[in-house]
Amino acid sequence: MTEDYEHREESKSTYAPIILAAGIAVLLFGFVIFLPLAVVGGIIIGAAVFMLFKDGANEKFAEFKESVEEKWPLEFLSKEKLGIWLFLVSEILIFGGLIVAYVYVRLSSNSWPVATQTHDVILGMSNTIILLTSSLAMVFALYSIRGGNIKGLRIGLIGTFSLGAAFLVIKLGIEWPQYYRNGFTISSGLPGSTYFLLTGLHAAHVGAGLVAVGYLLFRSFHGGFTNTKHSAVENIGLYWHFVDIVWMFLFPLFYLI
Amino acid sequence: MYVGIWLGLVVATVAEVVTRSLAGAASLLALIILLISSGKAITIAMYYQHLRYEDKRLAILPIAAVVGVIFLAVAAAMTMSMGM
Amino acid sequence: MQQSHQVQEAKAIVFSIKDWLTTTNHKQVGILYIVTAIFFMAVAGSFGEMMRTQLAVPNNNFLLPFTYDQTVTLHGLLMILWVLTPLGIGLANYIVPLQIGAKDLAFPRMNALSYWTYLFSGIMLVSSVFMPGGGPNTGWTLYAPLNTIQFTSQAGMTLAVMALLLFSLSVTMGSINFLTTIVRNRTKGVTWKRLPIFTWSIVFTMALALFAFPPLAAGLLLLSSDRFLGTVFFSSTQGGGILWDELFWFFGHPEVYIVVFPALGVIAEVFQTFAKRPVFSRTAFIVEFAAVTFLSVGVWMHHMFTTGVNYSVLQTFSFTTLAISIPFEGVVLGLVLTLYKANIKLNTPMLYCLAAIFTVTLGGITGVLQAFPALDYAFNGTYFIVGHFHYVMAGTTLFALLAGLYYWWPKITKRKPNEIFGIIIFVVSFVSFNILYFPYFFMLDMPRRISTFSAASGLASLNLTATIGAYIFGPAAALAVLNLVLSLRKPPSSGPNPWEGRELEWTGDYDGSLGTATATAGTAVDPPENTRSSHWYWCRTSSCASVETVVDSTGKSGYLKKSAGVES
Repeated sequence: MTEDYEHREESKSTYAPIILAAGIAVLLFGFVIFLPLAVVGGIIIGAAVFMLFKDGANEKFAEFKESVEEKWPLEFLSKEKLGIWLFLVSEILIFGGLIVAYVYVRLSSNSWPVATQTHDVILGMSNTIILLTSSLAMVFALYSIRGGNIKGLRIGLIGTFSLGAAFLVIKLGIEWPQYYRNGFTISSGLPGSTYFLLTGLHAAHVGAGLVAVGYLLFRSFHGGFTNTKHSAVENIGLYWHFVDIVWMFLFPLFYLI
Repeated sequence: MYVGIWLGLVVATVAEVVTRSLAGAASLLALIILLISSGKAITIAMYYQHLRYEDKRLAILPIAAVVGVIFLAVAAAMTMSMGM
Repeated sequence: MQQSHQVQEAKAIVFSIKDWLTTTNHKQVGILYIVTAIFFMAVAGSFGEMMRTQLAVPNNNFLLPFTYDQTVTLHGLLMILWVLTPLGIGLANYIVPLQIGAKDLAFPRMNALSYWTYLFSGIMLVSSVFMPGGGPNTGWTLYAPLNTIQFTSQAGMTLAVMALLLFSLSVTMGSINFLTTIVRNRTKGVTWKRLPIFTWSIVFTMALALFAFPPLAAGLLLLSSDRFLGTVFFSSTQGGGILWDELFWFFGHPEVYIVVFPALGVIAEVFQTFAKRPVFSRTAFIVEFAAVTFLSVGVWMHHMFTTGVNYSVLQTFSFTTLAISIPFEGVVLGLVLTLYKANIKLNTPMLYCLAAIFTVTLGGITGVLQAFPALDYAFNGTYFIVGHFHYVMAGTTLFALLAGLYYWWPKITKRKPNEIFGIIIFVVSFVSFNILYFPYFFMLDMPRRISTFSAASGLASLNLTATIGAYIFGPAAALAVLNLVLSLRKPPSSGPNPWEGRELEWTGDYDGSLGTATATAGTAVDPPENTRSSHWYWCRTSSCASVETVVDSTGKSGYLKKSAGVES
């Protein structure tokens, strides 16, 4: 059996997957059974994510040169890019499913409050513009590193991060408490439920995006990116723009219509 | 160029907000607003996500997903016409 | 890295737990998937036996109604999602990279993550039964508003919802992984036209999974919100129930194809190898397979025929459901015609696949009958449906995947299970399967998911027959697996290609059960122009007899010179 083991070493081993899986499981268990357990789950997830960050920085799992020859019809795509686009396909379907549910529920109901009564349009519009600007910053970051400009990359990433964080702070810290004070909550009826659920899920995606952008920032300060090696910036950018696109629909659907 | 696109997006956003307060049938206004937002979304996809410059075949993926969602929406609408 | 032989031996002998916990290797992950799926099959199978025991005689009190409801719910959820789907994924994990000449999947760590989330989600689901108040008792479809807190208040139900969410995550990651891998990591010569049928089936499976699971996740999120935060998505009287149906069945129908596609792929591989010819009309076959995939996204409302939806829905989805039966029938016919006038070797995997064809025919016909709403009004909610889907799932899928295990067992473990024992178990399981499920087609008066029936209903003899079948079928299935496991006691005995298979997983550079089938990175495997693979695909008549040499770049040869073509 010795020869069995020789080739095993070509595959890299890591604890991160099982720890991350365990963390998510504990988190979900905690939601159902005992909320502090969910916090423990969150911590475990954080640990696993940190392990992945480190692996990424060490380029431990950098793509080994496979003898890949046949790639038609998508030969122009790197595997990470293809992976991200496939992931975005699934995200389109989940947000799409939820939006269809929202429209269905709204059109099926007898009465629905006018958007201006329940939502702060100016705040929403400002947040929309903030998110749009963060996307611009992301594009700026990508173009900088394409030209080898690491400083520009960092500035762009910091811009993306801060604007995304501002989006969340305004939404979670200012807007939502305001709604809750007015009695517009997630359980105050279908209008509240749909709004908070969908925008909440979106906010969670923004948060995850911030973690990813944070990872990029971290790597940009440790020389991880050059003008030829920066696919992570582009791919995470794709995700970030997608989150922006979703908001393009959520904003009018809830605030304006 | 991207700054120009950003400006356009911001203008479109403001236009959406303004449209809402125009006089007119609610559903027509809603349609216009959603058309504007679709335009914004497509713009972001084409330029920020670079789809305009990528090989056309890549676009098949998001388009297929959107078609799937539209299909789900149409089917849901079909059940609704009975007034459930 | 130079190590002394003794150290290597020590390392190899101790397949340490750490090795399995930290692996990202597709072969080990595949084995983990298969072993775990079999474990869950034992759990879910026991639930099935419990149910049949309860239904053996009228007015039985072996299981309380509430217990029975949980049993039937978990039996369904586990079998469909945690047994059959992962069994296919496990085989895919092991075999697909070998079939396309890749070193591993595109994202090995995410692959491991897919497995561990699958395992933990299954543990979560099973543990829901032990929660105070019990587990989910709504049936595997979790219909609304039964699934809301008002009607199903136990925390175990919420836990089950969480488990399903986690599982959706697992499969979505897997689908991204497999699609990226098959698109990008094929080695030289493995063009789409030459892609092995099993890999094609996985392509379609994963594409469907990518589409199907997110809407389920959306529905589960809405349900979680209802259960945690008091929202009223599914308890609303204005379409709450239908909303769940929409989202669930948009997932649910593609899901049953996700379950069955790998099985069809296995059947194709087994037929090809043991009939010694390529699948009949290969291009048409793949096109039909693709057609089924596309159409399967458009038939789901046939599960909602009896919900009171309007006529246009009935018309449309009846049409699409009938439409999908055409390419599906083409696929089955293609498989059958592969055997036409061929010299068939009747060994265990072949027998299971033949059984699978039989069950898919019967299951398919009963499925087409349900495509007519008028008939569906009679069938829906009765054991006719239960019979239909057990024939395609417990029959076709389970038999075919079992065949896949038997077929690829020498590849995975370098051993062959006992053939005589295998055939005997096959006969027993096939006969008992039919004793168990065929009566269901006559039980039109018996509603699904009820825990007992009266003596006056006249269903007693049919139910008893089914139970007897179950008592034989369950152990037979267990023995089939045991047969495989027992082979591990023997020393490695089978050569690199005992079946004279012609796909790349057999003809690649075989160097060990956990070694890679490809040469090391940087060098291409056998240029397929010279392999039997290409001959295989293009050579369908007996005039195509020639001797080919297969030599790869390292000088080693896989399975070598033989004449291609049909022996009749």
